Formats: sequence, structure tokens, C-alpha cells
Amino acid sequence: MGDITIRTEKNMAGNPILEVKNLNVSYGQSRVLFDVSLEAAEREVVGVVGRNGAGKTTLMKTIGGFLKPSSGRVVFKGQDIVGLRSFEIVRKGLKYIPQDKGVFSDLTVMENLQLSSYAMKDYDWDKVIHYFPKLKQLMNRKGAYLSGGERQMLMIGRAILGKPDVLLLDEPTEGLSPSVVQDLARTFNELKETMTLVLVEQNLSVVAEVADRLYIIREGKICAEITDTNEIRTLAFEKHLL
Amino acid sequence: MTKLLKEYGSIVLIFVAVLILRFILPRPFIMDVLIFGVYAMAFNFLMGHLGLVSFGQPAYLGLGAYGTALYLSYVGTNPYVGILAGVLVGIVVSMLVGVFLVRLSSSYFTLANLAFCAIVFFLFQKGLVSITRGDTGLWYLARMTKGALLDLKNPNDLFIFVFAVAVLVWVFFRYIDTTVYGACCLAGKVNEPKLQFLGYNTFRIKWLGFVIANAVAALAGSLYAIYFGFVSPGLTELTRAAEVVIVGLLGGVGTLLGPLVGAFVYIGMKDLISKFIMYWELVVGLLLVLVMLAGERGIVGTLGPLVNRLMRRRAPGLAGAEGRKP
Repeated sequence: MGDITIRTEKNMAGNPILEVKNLNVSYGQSRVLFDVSLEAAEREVVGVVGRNGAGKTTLMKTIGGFLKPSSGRVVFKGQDIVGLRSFEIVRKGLKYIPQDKGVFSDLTVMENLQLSSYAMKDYDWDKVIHYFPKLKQLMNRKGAYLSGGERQMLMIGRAILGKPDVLLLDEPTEGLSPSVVQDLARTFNELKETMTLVLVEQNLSVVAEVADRLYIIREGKICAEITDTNEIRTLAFEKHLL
Repeated sequence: MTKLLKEYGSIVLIFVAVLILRFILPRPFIMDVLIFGVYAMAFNFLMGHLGLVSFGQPAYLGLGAYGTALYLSYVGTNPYVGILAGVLVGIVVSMLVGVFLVRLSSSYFTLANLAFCAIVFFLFQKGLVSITRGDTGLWYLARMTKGALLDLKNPNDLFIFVFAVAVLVWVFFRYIDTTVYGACCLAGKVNEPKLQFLGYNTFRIKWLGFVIANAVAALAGSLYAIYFGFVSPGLTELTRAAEVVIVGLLGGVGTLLGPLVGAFVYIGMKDLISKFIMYWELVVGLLLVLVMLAGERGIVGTLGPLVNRLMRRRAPGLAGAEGRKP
């Protein structure tokens, strides 16, 4: 196990908007998360890194309301959201973008955006186009014919409709070309100006570039919390992953 | 104009064909096709748009039929009000049972609906025998009065009415297809969690779809009730549960033309083969197995692309003007 940095209030850049407290999650008899605690301040990028099977996706799904924890709390904007249904959590302003780049393949880009607009009553697509200008040319293309990067753009574009306060991104750069990854990293830095991002990533260079706070998860436990941005930017945290 | 033709041409052709066939084929056959077509459209919405396979559809068909029959037997004589009563019964019961059934995962939903159908059959046959008169059924044709505009006791007027209802139901489902709700149904069918990621209450989407589909199934039941002037529990028999599923699959699940084409072919096969062979179910069953091998695509899904390709070959300019969609 690596070193654990004990966080104090002064580590926080702002007020915590999302707090996960002593979260325990099991799949049947198999326990996956052990007393996981983390927090994210407003307009902060929080990275969660760890090896495959460490429990990162389980953590995201539990925060997003898709899995029910056996114990622990998830406090979002001061309210415990454990037990709320996933769509209720989304409407409160916490959105989860899953790993599978799951756009609706039979629907066009425009229809995918319309679905999100209708759910969130937010029809301001200018901000989507602002972050992802390429989507403007792809409006009539069906989801099935988008590249991995384009799908990811569409998923994030869909998610930012309704002005969420927190975006949970599960391995958004997985399988994308380096140039697309670079573009996404730039977008994350821009999005940070208006919302909090919780970024689960295997791509450490992306995390190093954008994260303000980092949690390292190993075998279902948070083994380190790093708030020193120098340590994050220089990838010095890699030692915790070994 | 080209777009309109492309979009609605096939259905206009189908309905025009039905109108012409009305004068060629026996009227009862065409009436059966139209009413079963409405019933199949409801099932098609449930399975093709919501991904819910129900073997309990005869229950909702029967509820509509008995709603109309009970009104015409005990309360009033206006057939239009009778139809409204039948649809209302279908809506209310679907709203109530939908709350429980729609929460079930696919196979449990299918079986729970089948069980519900058995309950409804039992109620009509034995449980409520004092008002439904059990197997004897309800007869009310003599009580029915002329309705406004069309006299539904008159076979020709009834044909026009049923035809108009079938067109309206088709237009209604076509309209749903163009709405965000329609897109949500399809999206939820493919992947429900994805829809929840966007903030949709998928239970409500499915519940509403369930109510819509069963209201239309009840409407078909009401039409049967007016058409026959008689209802019996046989309408909700479990043995009939597979019929609408077969018609849906035969026509092509999720296609707008499928239910009508499926109803036409299925009822046609039944009528034709039963004239020559006593055990017609055996032949129909074998033919259906062959069609089912094509999967959900059915007749429309299989032949549709071929017809489109042929039409494009004949009119290359048209295809070129539209361009190939990515």
C-alpha cells in the first residue's frame, strides 16, 4: 500500500460539492469497494486512477446511482443521494458518462442531442458546438457511423446539456488516438471553468495534465490522495500504482 | 413531394389495396384483417418500440370487447359510446397492472402477462358469470342503435368506420415515431441504462407505452364487439395468446407496415388452408417456422429492402437526388 495523504480542509480549492463517505459495495458475496471516501470541490478536476479491476467503474456507477452500496454515503450538494434512482441523480445535476461510449447508434447526432435536451429542458446547443465544433458537421450522421472520438464528443456534448454541476467520466480516452486524447484533455480544462469533473482514467498523462486532486484506488481501497499539483503534473504519483 | 411519397407511399398503397380488395375478397375477411391489423399494431408498438414481448394481449383485447359489450348490454345503446367504454376499460386496467408488470424484466414480463390473461379469462368465464354470462356470452346486436354519421349495424358503414380507425391508428403510431417520446421508446429498447444516463425515468416511458399499446388493443377488442354483436370468453383464451405475436413477427417487428401485412397473410393462410386441410394449424405452423427463421424482420423487413433496391434501380435519378445517407 502506498502513502496516504490525510486531507485537511485547507486542501480543498472550494466547497466540496461531492463527498463520498465510507462507501462499501458488493456484487453478491464479493465485496468490491472497501470504505472508499473521496471528495470533489466546485470546479475541480478529480482524477481516480488504478489498475484494471481496482473498482473504479464500480465507484462511478455507485455515485451515479446505478449500483446500491451496502453501506456509506454519497453527498451531493449537501444531500445524501444514496437510494435515489439514477435519473433523479442526473436531474439534480450529477451526470455519469459510462465507459462504453454508448451513443444511440440508430439515432443521428442531432437526435441524440435532442433526447438529452428534452430530458434536461435545455436546448442551448451552442455550448455543445463551442466545445465540440466538429459535431456541427456530423448532425445528420447516425451514431453507428461515428468514430470513437466523435462518440465521446457526442456523449460529453449530451451530458453538458442541462448545465450539470458534476460530470463523472469513466475512461473517456480509452481507445482514442493521441490527437483526439489531446483535444479531449483541452476540453476538460475548459469544462472545468463551469463544472466539476471526476475523471476515472488509465491514461496517466491525461490525468497529470488536468487533475487538481488525485485518488489512487487499489483492490477496492483508496490507497492515496494527492493534492499536490506538482506531484500530479510530474507523474510522481506513479509510484503508488506500482 | 418525393419525400412524402417515399415516406407515405407504401402505406397509402396498402390502404388503397385494402379498399380495392374489399370489393374482390369477402367482406368478413377484410374486416378481420383490418381489426386484427389494429390489434397487431398495438402489439408491434409494444414489442418493436418498447422491446416488451407480451403473451397476454388477448386480455386487453377482451377487456375492450367486454367493456363495449357490457355497456351495450346493460347501460346504453350507442355503439360509439360503447367503443369509448371499451377503450376506457383497457386504459384503466393497463394503468393499474402496468405499474407492476412494466417493472419486470423481459421474460418475467412475458409470463406475468400470460398469467394476467389467464386471470381475465377466468373472470369472464366463471368469476363474473352473473354479468358476463360465462361461456354463453353477451348478445346485444338488437339493442345497438344507429350512431351518428355511420350506422355501425350496417356492414358497409361498419367497414368504413373500421377502415378509418385503422388509418387513424396507423397515423397515430407514425406520429409517435416522429416525437421525442418515440425516440425514447426506441432508445430504451436498445439500452435502458443509456436513457437513464440522460435523466429519463425509463419506467414512465415504458408504462406509458404499455398503456398506449393496450388502449389500442382494447380498441381492437371494441371493434370486434361491434362487428360480431356478441362476445364470449373465447376472445381471451390462452391458446390465442400466440396469434398476435405470430402476426407481429410475420409482418416484421418494429415496421409500420408489418402488422397489416402480417394480419393479411396470417388470416389469409388460415382461411385458405383451412378450406382444404382439416388440420390447417399444422401447415400454418410449419410455414410460420420458415418465416420465423428470418428473425424479427418478417415479410416487410425481408422484402422491404429488396423492393427499395428495385425501385432505386428503376429510378437512379431519384436515388441520386436524395443521396446516400451515412
